Amino acid sequence: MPVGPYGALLDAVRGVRWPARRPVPGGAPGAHQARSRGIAPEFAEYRPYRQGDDTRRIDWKLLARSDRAFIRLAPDQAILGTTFIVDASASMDFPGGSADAGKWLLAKRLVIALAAAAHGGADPVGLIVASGAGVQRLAPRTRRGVIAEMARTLDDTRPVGSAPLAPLVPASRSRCVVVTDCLGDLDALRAALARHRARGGEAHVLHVVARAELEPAATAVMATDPEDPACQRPLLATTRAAYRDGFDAFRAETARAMLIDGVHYHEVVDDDAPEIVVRRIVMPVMAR
Amino acid sequence: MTFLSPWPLLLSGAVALGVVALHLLTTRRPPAAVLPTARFVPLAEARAVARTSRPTDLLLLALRVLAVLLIGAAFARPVFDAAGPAVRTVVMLDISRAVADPAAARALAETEIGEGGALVVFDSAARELPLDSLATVGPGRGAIGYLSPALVVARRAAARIARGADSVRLVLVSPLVDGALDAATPVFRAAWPGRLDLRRVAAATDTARGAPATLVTALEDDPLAPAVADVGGLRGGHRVRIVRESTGAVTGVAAGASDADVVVYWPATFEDSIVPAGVTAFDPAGTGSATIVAPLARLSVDAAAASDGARVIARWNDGTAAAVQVPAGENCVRYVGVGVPLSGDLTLRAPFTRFLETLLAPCNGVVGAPLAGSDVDWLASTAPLASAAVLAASSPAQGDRWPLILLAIATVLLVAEVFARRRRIE
Repeated sequence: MPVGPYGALLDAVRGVRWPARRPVPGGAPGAHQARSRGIAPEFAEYRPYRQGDDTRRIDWKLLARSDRAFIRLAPDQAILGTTFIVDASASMDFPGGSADAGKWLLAKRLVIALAAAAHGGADPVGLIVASGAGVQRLAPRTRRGVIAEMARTLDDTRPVGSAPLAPLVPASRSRCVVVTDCLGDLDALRAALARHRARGGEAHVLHVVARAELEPAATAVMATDPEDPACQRPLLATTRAAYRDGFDAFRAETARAMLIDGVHYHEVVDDDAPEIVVRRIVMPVMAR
Repeated sequence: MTFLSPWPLLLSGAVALGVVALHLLTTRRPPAAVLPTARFVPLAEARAVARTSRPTDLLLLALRVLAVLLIGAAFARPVFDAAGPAVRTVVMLDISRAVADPAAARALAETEIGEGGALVVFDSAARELPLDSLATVGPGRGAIGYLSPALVVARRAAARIARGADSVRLVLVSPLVDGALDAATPVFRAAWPGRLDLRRVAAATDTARGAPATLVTALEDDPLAPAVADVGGLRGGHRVRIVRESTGAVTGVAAGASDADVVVYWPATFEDSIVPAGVTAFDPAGTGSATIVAPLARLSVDAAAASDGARVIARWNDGTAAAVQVPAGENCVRYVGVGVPLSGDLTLRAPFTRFLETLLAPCNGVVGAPLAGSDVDWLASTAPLASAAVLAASSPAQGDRWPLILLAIATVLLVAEVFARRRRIE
């Protein structure tokens, strides 16, 4: 599988699986526990026979003993489609000029690593990349090579402009992973994810933050928003503390709101190791 | 060029460095930098102080630094050095009658004065003369050369010639007779910041006595006659005529036409106007005085005191004039308002003799005896020569236009700086 620069990362997350946080709707057989009961070898419970049931599922021995017809049920396993919505707006290309760091690089690595973890559980994975240049979609698939295709798509994308993410949230009861810096249509995104969650889907938000945003350089600069050049603010010694306070409050409020909406919120910093972040996301209890 | 007060120049140099340092700080808008979270930066004044490696606004910097330096230079009192030797000499030449050989004194002064020096001549007054007038300077009329005014004028002359020199030498050519020093002399001497080279010359002391005064009187038994006889030959060798008439009654006795150097008008007295009183006569040179207290008559000398050049040579105890001297060419006329009783032995007493001798002194007084060496040794000292910088700094640089010129240029530069600043803002 040609995955380019992600080989080492994929090796690091090999064997990692991403179980669903709760039973998934029934569907094609997969690795996640489904809310439906199926015909798997493992016994779960009996149910009285109803007209229309497959007679092959009647427990004949129990019928002989009790003279009553019961259907033998077993826990069902289903797949959980996972769609990655990647924010490729201009703000994700920060700090620019570095191939080894930055929000965009971390976003790409996390998407590939998490997709690999999901794909390893036979889940179909898909990709939606939203940038100022347009939206690219890769429908969720389980076939081999989907990870490489996602990697190529991400590598060919250059973060520019701005694009809303809320309309891209899928309507299916799948797993939706939004990788963003939360500097775009955050309120609309929250509402869309809340609806997705209410439909029975699973929602994750990976809030990508740059270290340079947390601790800006001490030199005085006129901070300019790459998505809104008209927004220019003087980042001086006198305003640096207020900036930090404001940004900290924003992140805390975002995390709190996501928690209320039932969205799994993960803040990641661009100098974090992606393989560790992946484990923290897919196995939150173990990671803690 | 020499700066008489260099501190303002040094201070302006420090201020100029401060101006340069301020130009290395710029309060311009900071450079733009991408920050996606710029929205969390609070709104504030978009100007920041930053250091630069090169000064900003070179034209403004040049104008400001030049203006500051010029102002400092102006207050540092710049003077352009006059060409001349490093050590210059101020000679104080005594030209009073106390100098026995004025030509020898002049020759001595000429050898001492050197190039670029100053000549101060003095007797009862002091003045500075050009160096080329040394050969022609004549003897003064004063009996004594007073050192105090000479020191004052010498200090002023030294401040003038000190510019461009390292030090200034002060030379005194004088016999230094009694009366040459007064209470102010130590003060003025102490004000001279260096040593004084003393060159004493021979003194012409009025020790010899000439002919006695001539008494012209209509009285048969004039009480002044025995006193004049007691005085005898006059000290100083001058001729004195005493006229016992009122001035209006005397005809044909004009001082210039008289055969006397001093004419004394001393009217006779009416006995009924005599009351006890005291009167003091002063030697015109100021070297001595004599007082008598006796029944005397007060005669008015107000008319004579109002004459041009009149000077009081005797006063009553209440301060009013008792005798007045009026110059008449090289000679003088004295009007005495002290009425001597026609009877009694007042004129036979020693105080009256001294009083009369004082009134009969030469017009410019009597030359005293030379001072002892121990009395004048304190004038000279082993101190080094006076520093020219100290002398020059203690005196305002009169006539120097450079400070004003520098201030004017600095003002022009500051005006130009205002225009340059406005243009930059626009």
